[in-house]
Amino acid sequence: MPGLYGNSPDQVFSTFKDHLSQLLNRTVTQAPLTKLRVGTRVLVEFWQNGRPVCVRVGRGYHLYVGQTLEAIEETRSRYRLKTVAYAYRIAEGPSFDDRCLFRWEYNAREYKDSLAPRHHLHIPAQLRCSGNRILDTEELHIPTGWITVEEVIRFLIQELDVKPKSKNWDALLCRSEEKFREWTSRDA
Amino acid sequence: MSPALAEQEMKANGEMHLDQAGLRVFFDRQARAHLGISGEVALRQIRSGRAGSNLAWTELALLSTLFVDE
Repeated sequence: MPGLYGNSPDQVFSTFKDHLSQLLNRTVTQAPLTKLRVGTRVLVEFWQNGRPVCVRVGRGYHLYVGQTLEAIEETRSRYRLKTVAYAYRIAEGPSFDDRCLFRWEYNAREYKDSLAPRHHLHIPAQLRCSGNRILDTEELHIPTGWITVEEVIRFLIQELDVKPKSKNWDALLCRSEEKFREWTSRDA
Repeated sequence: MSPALAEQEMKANGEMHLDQAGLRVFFDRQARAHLGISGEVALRQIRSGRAGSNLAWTELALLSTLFVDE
């Protein structure tokens, strides 16, 4: 059965975080990820000096990666990893109020009441359409499929010209995507 | 573990452990420090889809998914 399994929440969280850290370190940033654990859930993100941060990637861009994960006990002492929420941001600076250029987010339906598309994108722009009507794409939840960290890294390198930290970045991303597909439970 | 001790653990090891009560205190502190509102108000806004777009809101929205509702 697909999924990341372990004998304890710590084991599944550590396996996942170590994999994600290594992927980020070998492609776009050496910044370490941190883990905030509460019961059977954990928040993995970039964190410095008591606050979350966007870390510098390439020239002029800053990346934030945050994921809430849950270790679900399926049978006695056998835990499966589930993604509860994610947020990826590409911003112009590291701090809270620096302008965010792209913001991908997801919340599993059972943890949020909103009826907006669960996987979505926000972009700080306005589209004029149908005469005088203006669509604010910062506010709209533009539907996406499941966005993986690998796709965000690929976007940074291939589309935004962020210099990769390894020559074989594409192979690293492809291998990691295979692993995530194998590991990640994607409930409807 | 108290949020203050947990933050020391975070600085030392890159990991922090909290229980639900500690999370509430931590969440409230983060909301007050970075948004100037209480954790309760922030949580209400997040759950009703009225969160803001800056990184402080993103962080709180993710933190809020760590709560297990009684």
